[in-house]
Amino acid sequence: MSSRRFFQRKRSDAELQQEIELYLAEEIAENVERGMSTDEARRQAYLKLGSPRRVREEVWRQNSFSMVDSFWRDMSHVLRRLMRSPSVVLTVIVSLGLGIAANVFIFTVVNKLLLQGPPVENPAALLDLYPTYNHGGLIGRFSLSMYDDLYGQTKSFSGVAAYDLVLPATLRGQGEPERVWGQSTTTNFFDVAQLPMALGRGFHSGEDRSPVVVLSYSLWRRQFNGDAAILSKTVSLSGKMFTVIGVTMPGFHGINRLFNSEFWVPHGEGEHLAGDAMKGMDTTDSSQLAVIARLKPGASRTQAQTELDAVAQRFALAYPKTDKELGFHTEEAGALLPSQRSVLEVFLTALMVVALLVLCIASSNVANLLLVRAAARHREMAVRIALGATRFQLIRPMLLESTLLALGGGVFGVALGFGGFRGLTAFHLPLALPFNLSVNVDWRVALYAFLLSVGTGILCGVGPAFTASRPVLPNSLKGESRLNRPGRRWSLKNILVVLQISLCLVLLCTTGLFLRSLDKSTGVDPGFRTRGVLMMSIDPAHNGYTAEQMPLLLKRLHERAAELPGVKSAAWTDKVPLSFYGQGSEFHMAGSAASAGHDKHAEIYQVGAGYFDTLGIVWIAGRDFNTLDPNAPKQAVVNEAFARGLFGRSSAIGERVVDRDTAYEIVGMVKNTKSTTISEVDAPILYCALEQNMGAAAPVMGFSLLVRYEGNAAELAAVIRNEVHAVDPALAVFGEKSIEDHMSDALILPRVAAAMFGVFGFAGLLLAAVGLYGVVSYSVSSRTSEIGIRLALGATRSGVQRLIVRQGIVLSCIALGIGLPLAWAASKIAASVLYGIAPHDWMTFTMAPAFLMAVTLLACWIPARRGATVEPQTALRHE
Amino acid sequence: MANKKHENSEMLKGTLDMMVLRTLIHGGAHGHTIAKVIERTSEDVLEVEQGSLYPALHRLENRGWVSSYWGVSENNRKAKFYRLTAGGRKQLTLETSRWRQMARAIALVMGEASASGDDK
Repeated sequence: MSSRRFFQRKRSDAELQQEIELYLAEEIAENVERGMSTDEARRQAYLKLGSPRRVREEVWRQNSFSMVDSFWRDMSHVLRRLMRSPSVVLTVIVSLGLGIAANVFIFTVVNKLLLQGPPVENPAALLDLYPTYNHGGLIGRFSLSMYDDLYGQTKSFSGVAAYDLVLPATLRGQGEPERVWGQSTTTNFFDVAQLPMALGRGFHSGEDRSPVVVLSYSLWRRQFNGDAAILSKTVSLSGKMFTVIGVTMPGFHGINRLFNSEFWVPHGEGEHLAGDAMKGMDTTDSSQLAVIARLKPGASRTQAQTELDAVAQRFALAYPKTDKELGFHTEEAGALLPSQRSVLEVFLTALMVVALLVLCIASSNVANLLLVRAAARHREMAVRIALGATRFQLIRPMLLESTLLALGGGVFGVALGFGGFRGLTAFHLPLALPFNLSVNVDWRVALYAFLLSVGTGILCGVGPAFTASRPVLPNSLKGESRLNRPGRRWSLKNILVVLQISLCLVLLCTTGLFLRSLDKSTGVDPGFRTRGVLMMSIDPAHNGYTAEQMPLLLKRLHERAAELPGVKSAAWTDKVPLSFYGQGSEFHMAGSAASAGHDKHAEIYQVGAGYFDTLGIVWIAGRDFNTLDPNAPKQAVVNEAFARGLFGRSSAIGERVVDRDTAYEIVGMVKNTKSTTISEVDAPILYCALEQNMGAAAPVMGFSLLVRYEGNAAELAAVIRNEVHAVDPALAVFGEKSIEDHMSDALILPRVAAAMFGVFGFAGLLLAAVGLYGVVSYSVSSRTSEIGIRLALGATRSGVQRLIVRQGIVLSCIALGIGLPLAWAASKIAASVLYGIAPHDWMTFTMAPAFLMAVTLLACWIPARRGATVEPQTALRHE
Repeated sequence: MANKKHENSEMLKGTLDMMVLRTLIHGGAHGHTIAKVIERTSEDVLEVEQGSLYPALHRLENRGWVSSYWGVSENNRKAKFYRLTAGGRKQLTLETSRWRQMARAIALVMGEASASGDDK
């Protein structure tokens, strides 16, 4: 059997037809010669030949792969059948699409966070190294000296490279200056990572102090329009010129999975970029380097670990002071640390379970629909069985049908999932850190979607197919029974619907809880103005400004901004509250000694003049800072929580507090505000004057200007941006947004959770309603004659309606009975991430079932009304 | 695939193949001629069913025992002619000797003196 013959079947059939024609012609001619009449001659010839079609079919079959052929026959049959019922196809594809979309969405996130490695060559052999202290209890980062000591000490690695995790810079490309985040790496970084480049090369070994830079693909496209001649051109990073030597492959954002790094410079140059911010810090001993190592071919991770343990012991002996109890931890490159991973795993598993619930609801819907379709074919099935078809022959096309439908659903689902990712970009983190929130679809996601679709298709199809291929023969042939076997009350259909509704209740209750929690969070008063304030940030430290120049710059910008029309007040701060990060210190009263256990931790905000006024933070006592002289004694304003925490009373004016080595005099007191997150308990805060503290390390996130305004925010933002560039065109302005947007960003977690559960809950509800509707309408249509008889015997139409609705109600009540305890249990789990809501929130647990009940009633009532309009005459004549 | 099974269980098909090959030993012929020749030489005892002749021809062609070409029949009609290939010739020899053995064996069992003759 060759495939050539298989594909030439058509031609060989045509030839055969010719041969047969010739045969007939010759035979007829011969018969005529024998003296027959033309008609008789033709008749005899045909008689002798038999059926030409049979001959052709025989040869055709000879040339076919029987399996493939019957598969195609089934396939075309199924496609024809599906084409005839577009509404069924649509329902199934939408239902399964919703379910599969939910799963693909979650899996893509799982894939990104837990499975996908960095796009380097042989990622399995690339490891992240971490030093551990306290017998592995504490995981840290490398210092440069430790990296130098480690370098070349291990035989199982072919290379070890280090890099600074996040390095902010101001990039001046072809557009406006932009704040970008990159990494400074040892020069062997690209060799160790074995990263293929889109353009150019990585660093050479002698380039540690050369001003060269490698750009990420996305930065190259964004700022340089994908300029193919970018190599050996220069770009300005934080005011210093760098020569571009390479562009990475698309999709590479650094080894770490979460950060979005967009440029790479040699480590020796990184210090220059950090500018004044890093001055005075001893970089060789500060531990902030990430280290990657590549295993030699043939070396195993266990081998490397043994070797690292030995190195750690040597270090501990050599530097007993710092490296006591040192160890090394290895992790596949880019993987999250075990502690981060376990939190994420719990969260993602919960989401996956929810997504699977939605898929379960969708699948049972589809299974029901297929059951009904199969029931409609009971006669055909019975006839085919009577004619000798095997069970398998009957089941095969039905399974094929459900699998095809599910694949259609899968395609639709993946498309929906992409829509979901689009929607996800509407959520921002409230701080301008370069988190890599992009998701990409790789082979794992594609495979998952495919397997899920096929699995769902087979699962949905198996029940209906088996039931349908086992009709009660005599009844079916007489056209009497549907699939109902005599005496069976609990059909598969009813069980599926009960299952659906109870799962839906679990979803709805959880959704309700999340919505309530979001509502509560939105209603929380953060203690500052949440309307009519605009914010934008600059980072002068990464633009070459020295500590002495900065106050002047800030003052000039503040003056220019404050004079703009529509601006009521403006103020600088080193961080905007609710930005998900804080900086703090331990405080104690002046006069008493510092003690580790008793000092109170407080957040420190450096704020400029007018901060409290601009943000509308309420004064309780005292006054604003009245000296801005850095050499004068430092002043501080504290909040209530600080006063109560440190002094145990509500007034602390005139007191003096000390953190490590700085003393502050408390000159004012304000009400509490939320500091890091909206759900926190009010934290102690100490505000100090920006101008008095400028000499210390500059804030990583730059300085933010808060502007209280009237009028159009977007216009004002553009005007202020121009003002900034009028003072210094090289300054990058970033993090520009209104405080309304900032507040909604600060609620990102409850918002994402509520949005997800909202979508899941709505999809589940819709699916369950459709499912119940389908079951009730099916039962109405199969009971048409029964209804006709009832009506003929004198039943009222409302009585018939009640009868049908009652069936649906019984099902829903049973479902509620099963679902409520499940929901109760699920809410306990959800409570661990909920803010401001008791897990067994009475409102959710009364509203959700009531709402579900109402929807199910509607789903029953529509077919019931239709059932009651049956005309007894027609119904009895029917069948 | 499925063909093999048929062949072994159906002896007649095997003999048909053999007879077709035998007919073609003197030169190419088209389907009608082949059928006619078999019928004539068997003194009209064997009637070749067209339902099996054409599938048999295709089978033989697929195995490379005969090859086909388009020509013109005695009555000036376009016809597909079949011709024995070298492989077919070898196969014919093989089958003929196998058939002889078989026929002789059956004849011995049936207690007949000679293996040839009509079954009239």
